[in-house]
Amino acid sequence: MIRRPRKSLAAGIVALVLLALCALVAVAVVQLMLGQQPVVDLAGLNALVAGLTGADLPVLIASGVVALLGLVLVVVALRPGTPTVLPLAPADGAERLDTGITRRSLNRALSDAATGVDGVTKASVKSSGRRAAVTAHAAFGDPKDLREQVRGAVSERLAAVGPARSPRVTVSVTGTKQEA
Amino acid sequence: MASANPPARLNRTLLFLIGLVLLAAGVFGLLFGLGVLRPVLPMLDPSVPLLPANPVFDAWVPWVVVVAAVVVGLLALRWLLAQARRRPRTSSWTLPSAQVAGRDAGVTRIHSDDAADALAADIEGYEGVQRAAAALVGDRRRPQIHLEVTADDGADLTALRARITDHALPRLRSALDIGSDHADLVLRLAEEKQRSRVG
Repeated sequence: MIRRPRKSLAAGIVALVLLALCALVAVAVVQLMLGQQPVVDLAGLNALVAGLTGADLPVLIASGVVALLGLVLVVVALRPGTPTVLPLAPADGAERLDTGITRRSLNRALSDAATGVDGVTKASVKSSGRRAAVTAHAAFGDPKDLREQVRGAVSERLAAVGPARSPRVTVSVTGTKQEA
Repeated sequence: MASANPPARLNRTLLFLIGLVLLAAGVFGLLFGLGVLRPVLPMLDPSVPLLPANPVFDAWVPWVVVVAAVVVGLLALRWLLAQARRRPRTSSWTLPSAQVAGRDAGVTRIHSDDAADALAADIEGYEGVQRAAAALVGDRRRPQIHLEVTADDGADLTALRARITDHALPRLRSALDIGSDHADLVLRLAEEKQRSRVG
């Protein structure tokens, strides 16, 4: 059970642009057929492109822009993206229930665990499935000591949740004065 | 097979195809303009104007353009609206007709959402579960079972998963007489409740 981003933003933008272009073209051509002044200045557009050859700079630039846009869309479509749901290891007695946990929930559970350590006032976690980076803000205490404690608390919580692939936990502690 | 995470696959497929078309068109324009295609396709002369000075179209051309624009525009609108659907598509099921006292007692129809709600209600009754939602997708005899459960932050997830496989799913299977062996579960952990700081 792994889920990847839906790419709704990119899809929405492309669909909207496509819809707008189609509406514009349909309206302009219908107006032209009815003998009205088209909403798009087709005559001006024609004057603009008239006489242009394939070797002219504007045409080359336009081709380059279109190719680049296409490349961006292909890359967006093919890149898997950071998972939104991470798979959990099969649990005893529940092997046939394919389970995952949302990355957001996992991050919050881990930051809660880090906040439970004495001296830590705030913690945030960024996880990618392979790594979980914990940033803990401490009010007091020895940073090295705190780092170990936070790592311990986070690892314990992680084991309780049981992801299929345990991320490597890295901890950084801020807020305490570095002792010389 | 219906997608469990709509519209992810639709988006990726369409973005890829549209990107591919644009990329191909752009690259073709560049190669054509730079004269690279000349040796291969001698009839493509980049030094000739792309469009005639006063283009004259046949009478059918505007019609075709309008129809094409409307069709593509409606498809784009449909794609846009598909972004709003976040649940897998469910359907109405017809249960096999039953013989009661030797007479045909008619068929029973049930929407799979109603069966799914019963399953979700079962799971919502478990300890440590705050919310549960279910969707039964596909063929009535072997539906795919998708579950989304929001559990308390400190809940025993292993026990919860075992309870679902040992209790909720068998109950659903026997109630509807289905033989589904595929079920998946997305877990969420609820926001931490205000802990008592007393003591």
